[in-house]
Order: sequence, then structure tokens, then C-alpha cells
Amino acid sequence: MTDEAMSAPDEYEFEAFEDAVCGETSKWTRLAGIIQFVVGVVLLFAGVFQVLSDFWKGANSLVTAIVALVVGTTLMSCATALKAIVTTEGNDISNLMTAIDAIKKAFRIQVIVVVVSTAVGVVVYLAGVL
Amino acid sequence: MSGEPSARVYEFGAAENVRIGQAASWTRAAGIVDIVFAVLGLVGGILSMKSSGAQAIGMLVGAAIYLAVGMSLLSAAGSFSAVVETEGNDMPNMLTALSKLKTAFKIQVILVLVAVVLGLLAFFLLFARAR
Repeated sequence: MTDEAMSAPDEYEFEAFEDAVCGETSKWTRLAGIIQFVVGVVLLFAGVFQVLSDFWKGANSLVTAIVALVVGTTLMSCATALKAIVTTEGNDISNLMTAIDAIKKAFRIQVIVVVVSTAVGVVVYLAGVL
Repeated sequence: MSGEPSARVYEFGAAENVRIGQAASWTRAAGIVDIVFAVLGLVGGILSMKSSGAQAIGMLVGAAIYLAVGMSLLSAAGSFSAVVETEGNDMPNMLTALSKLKTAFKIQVILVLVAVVLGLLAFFLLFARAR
């Protein structure tokens, strides 16, 4: 890493072929975010109705819905930052870092939820067996 | 803008490398989770082959999808790590990472859409048969 690069991190302007990669990634990231968001909305409605008849099933749906909504929103914000690389000038690196942070957040939420729900599942299973 | 690969070299700074490194770690973790799901789906699919062929096929297809997405995410994580660990190729590595992420999301989106279409088709076929 050079001192020059450190002192002027925002002066790099993406060229056409780099913009194309960011634009394509933005498009598919947005679609993935929209799908997560739609799944979240559907599960939210399902959870609200389920919780009246079966509390734990409904609560499970509501938690899954909230996770899907947060991940979906995060992916869409990542897509917006990637799109901004293509459509604006002067802030490409800053927008790229915003997108990177959003990606990190989305995957972190997903991984933590999978690990926690697996741990809860194992505990519930063991409690049932013992 | 020439449209040709740039000869310019950009090195990410220390603070940026920290953020990219964290993204690499969580992307790798998500990839590993997907691959674990793929292995579980593969085992489940093989075990349920004798009892239910349709269920086995579903699990094996699911395993293949998880494997493809997981491999893309691991590859993206590798490129993110390369941005942090190497010098002189930061931007090409970053673009490779973004391309791999695009592949992972593309697989997910296309297969969700295919699943929705097949689900609707199955629903209408069952509905027509019931009438």
C-alpha cells in the first residue's frame, strides 16, 4: 500500500468495464434483496395469523420474517451503493465501501441467525429426548 | 472511458482493508453454511431415495443449488481476501469478488423464480385435477 493511495482514497474513478461489473452486480443484488423482502412480507402476514392459533409456530415465522426483511433491505442498500458507482462521479470508492459494508452486514445476519437457530434446535431436540 | 481494462493501479488503504477483510470473513462463513446445507441435503437425498423418489430429487436439487451458491461465495471471499493480502491487483481482485457475488445472487434469483413458476404450475394442475 502506498502513501499516495492512502492519502487520496476517493480519487479513483471507475472506468467503463468496471462500471459494467458493478452495474450487473447491483442488478442481481437488488433482485435478491427484493425476493428476501417479499418473503419477509409474506412470512410477516403468515406469522401474525399463525400466532393466534399456534404461538410458537407464529413466533418462528415472525422472527424469520424480520430477518428476511432486514437482509432484503440491506441487500437493496448494497445494490443502491453499487448503482451509485455507475451513475455518479467522484465518490466511487466511498460507494464501493458502502456496498462492501452492506454485504458484510447481510451475510453476518444470515450466518448468526443460522448458527443461533441451529443451537436452539439442538437444545429443543435434546430437551425432548431427555 | 475507453472500455478497455485499466492500467491504473489502486491500493486500498488500511482502514478499507479492515472492512474488506471483515466482508471476506462473513462471505466465507455464509459460503461454508451453504456448503454444510448442501452436504446435509445430499445425505438426506441419498437416504430418502428408497422411501420417496420425489423428495430425494428435491433434496438433491436443493443440495446442488446450495453447493453452487456456496462455492461462488467462497470464491468471492477468496478474492476479497486477496484484496487485503496482496498488492498491485486490488481492483481486479475486487471486481472478481463482485462478479462472484453476482453469480451467487443470480443463481439464487433464477432458481427462486423457477421454483415459484413450478409451484404455481403444480398448484394449478392439482386444482384442475380436483375439479
